[in-house]
Amino acid sequence: MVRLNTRASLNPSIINQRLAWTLMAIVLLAGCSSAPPGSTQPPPRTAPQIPGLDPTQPPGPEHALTLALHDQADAARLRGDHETAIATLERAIRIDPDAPELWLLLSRVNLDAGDPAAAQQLARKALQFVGNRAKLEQQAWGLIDAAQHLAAKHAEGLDPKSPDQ
Amino acid sequence: MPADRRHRNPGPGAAALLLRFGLYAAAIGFAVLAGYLLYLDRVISGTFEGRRWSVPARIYAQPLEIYPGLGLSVDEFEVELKRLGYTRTGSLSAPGTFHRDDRVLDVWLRGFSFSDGYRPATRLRLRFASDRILSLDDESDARIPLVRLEPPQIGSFFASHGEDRLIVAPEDTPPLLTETLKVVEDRRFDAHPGFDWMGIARAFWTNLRAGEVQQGGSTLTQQLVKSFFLDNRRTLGRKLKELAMAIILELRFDKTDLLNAYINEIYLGQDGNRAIHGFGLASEFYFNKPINELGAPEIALLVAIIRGPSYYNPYQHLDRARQRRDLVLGLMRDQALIDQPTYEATVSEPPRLSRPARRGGRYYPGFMDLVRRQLADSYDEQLLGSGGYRVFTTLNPRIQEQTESAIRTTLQALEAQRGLPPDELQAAAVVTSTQTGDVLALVGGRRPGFPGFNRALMAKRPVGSLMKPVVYLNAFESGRYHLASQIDDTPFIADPSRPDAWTPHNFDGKYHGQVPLVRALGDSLNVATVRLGLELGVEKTAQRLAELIDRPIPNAYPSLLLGAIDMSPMDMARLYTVFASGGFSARPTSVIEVRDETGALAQHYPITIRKVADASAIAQLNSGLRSVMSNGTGKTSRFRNRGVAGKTGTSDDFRDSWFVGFDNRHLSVIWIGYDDNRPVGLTGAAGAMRVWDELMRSLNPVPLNQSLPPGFIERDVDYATGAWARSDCAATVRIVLPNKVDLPGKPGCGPSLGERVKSWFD
Repeated sequence: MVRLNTRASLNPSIINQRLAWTLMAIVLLAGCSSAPPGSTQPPPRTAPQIPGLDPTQPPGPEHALTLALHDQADAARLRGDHETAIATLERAIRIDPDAPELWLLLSRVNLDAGDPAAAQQLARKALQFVGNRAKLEQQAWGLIDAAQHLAAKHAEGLDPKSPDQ
Repeated sequence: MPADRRHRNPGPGAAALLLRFGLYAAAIGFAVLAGYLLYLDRVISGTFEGRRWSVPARIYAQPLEIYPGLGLSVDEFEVELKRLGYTRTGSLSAPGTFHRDDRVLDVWLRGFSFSDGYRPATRLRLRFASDRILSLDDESDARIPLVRLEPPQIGSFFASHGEDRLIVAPEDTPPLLTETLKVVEDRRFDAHPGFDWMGIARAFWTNLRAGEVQQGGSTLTQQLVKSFFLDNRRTLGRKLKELAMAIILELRFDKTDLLNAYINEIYLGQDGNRAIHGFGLASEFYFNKPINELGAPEIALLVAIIRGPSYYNPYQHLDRARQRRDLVLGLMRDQALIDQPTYEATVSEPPRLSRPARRGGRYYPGFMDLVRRQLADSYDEQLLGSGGYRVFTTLNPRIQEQTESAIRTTLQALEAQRGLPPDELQAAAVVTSTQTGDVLALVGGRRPGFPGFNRALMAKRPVGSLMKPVVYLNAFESGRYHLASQIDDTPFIADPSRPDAWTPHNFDGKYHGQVPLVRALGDSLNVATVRLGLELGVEKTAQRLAELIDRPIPNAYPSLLLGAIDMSPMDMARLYTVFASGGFSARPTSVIEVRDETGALAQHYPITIRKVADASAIAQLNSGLRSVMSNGTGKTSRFRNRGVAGKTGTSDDFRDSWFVGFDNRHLSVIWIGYDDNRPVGLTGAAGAMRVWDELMRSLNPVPLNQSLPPGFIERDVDYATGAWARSDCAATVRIVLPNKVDLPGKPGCGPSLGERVKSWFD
């Protein structure tokens, strides 16, 4: 099942930044800079930081509890109770709409319930929030794939003459 | 020979003839009566057996989810509890009560049947910091991660004849209520066969002594018959019919059934065109609490009202109602239903009424209108008015009230500051949840509690510059433009070959030469935008708009690029949801699900989303819409630097003032104008955006949380020219750009070498 990562995973852009500073230090040491002695690194950005675009932003207080709802919904899904699973997941999404785990599971329930079109859109929605969590991203693509597969199978069932639909 | 026979055989004497005639008549009369009684029996049993009360659909708002960390102060939480009719008490005594000691609040939540299960009545202790919830504990001091309050009921769809009721089961009815009913209305209820000679005699005697009608002689059964089957005419025939029906009912059904029917049927008050039937609803209507929480003084008042719901209406004639209530309390004491100290304590207190703030659909008519439209696809009015459905909606009552209040205060301030005639400006607003499309609040006009023209849905007005983002989205999607691309803001004639050729002008009457897209959008430059739109094709804009709002757009003239098209605030909510949600369209929805009278799911309206725009184009557009706030036409907002996005709109001659703003959670569309379409003299920023500012003060914006698409970076550029600038230079703006873009440095304030080096690795 969907395993839940924390959001505090490493962030490539930070790595890049570090790398850049290191390289720049080398450049500075090589004497290619006209920076006055004593000035260390350039001043930190003064323009207002847009926190929203910082993927290291800590998750809100909602996150932990929506994950509890996630597990509850998954239990319902495994019982075959799609109705309750969907109701619980929609409740969780209304509390914490940025959690990709919730959209992923909602996608999966829709797939189980035989609605590949919805499943595909919901997995795409999850992709919007996965950031750099490769495992979740993988799951999303897996669901999209499975949904397309199921849609094709449905199309075959309806019209066997056009299997490529 | 008949004549002979007549002569010879004069037959029986006159007396005998009369007797025989009498016998025939009696036989016929008896047969008719029997037939009539059988007919009555059929009518009664048929109607009564099924017990099909007309039970209007009840409409609920979204429940408040509470958890540690939620930004809700203890005062705000108390408001939410009071909205649900909870009473503050010295100590927790029953469901529906709470106790507060500074920032620690104990509450006994009522049980409620949610869509995903029943939540039993629960005792909780909440601890608050100044602005948020710190912890939730249950009775045994165990930490609770999350709990829902019951959803507030915001109205009901009753049928045109206006009967509203809330069915209660016998086990929910307090025994004190049934006992009091019998004492006051029908002492021998448990024994009589439907009518009561002694009751009539006693009533007659009491009324004679009092010189006025204090008691009626009708049994509860007769009253039930009158209310259930008959109209209000008082004729002898009707009285006899009532009697016959009462007897039949008593023969057919047991006393518990009859009493329960009475409790659900009887008329107890009027709320506009809504008739309050039954004690279940009356309990809410007068005391804002469920029937099982009623105490002796409240029961006494309700029983007092039966005799004349308008004459004893406690909202209008409190003294009269109190007098009769005290009389009932006296009877209750005399019959030992309450003891003397209780009697004395209650009689000395005036009735404590608590009118539910917003019920019956009278107070959120704009939102209820939307709910009705959404349900109209599957349910006709008749079914909604009588089928006993429960409808769970997306409304957030707090946000609804904050939106109403923001409109009220801002319009008053605008009129006062600008010397406009008072109370004439009109407004409409839609607030949605960005990722789900849920409509959280909807205001159809300045006086939101009054039904009438629903401007949020029905007012089609020119949208002006609200259209521009569609042009810019096209530009980014084409791959030929980014936010620092230059466009020409110099005079030209748009589409000179066409008869509708015209020369676009900028709002400030000036031309600005070469400008970057971020500024053209941020400052809402008409000339540059028209040029961009024409280059991409007007048809393309029209087509894209149609796709985004899922509706055909008839005529694609160049003036469409500047918003010369009439649309409603709801249309705009739909359009901007695509941007706010990162490229997904979500139909603005107001209903989550419908349950039937047994509690089974009748219809679920799932969160339905569809990807309609590319994430990287949306990321650039939203970056531009953030720049509108930080540097452009929205920069007078108090939230300009809070990572929120917005767009102002002003139609020709200042007839319409628009603003759309969104943060990570909430999308708001605000319109201000006059109904008769005369100019209001307000730009989008000077009018509608002030409403938004006021609203966001209470909603507290959460910055947009949209990650950078692969291949894109953020860069500080000079707002006026789009040149790469150091972030500490004047008038810079941080924008999302494709990482391959090579920008010239701003003369005198370009990026340091370090930044340039760093950019190689982005």
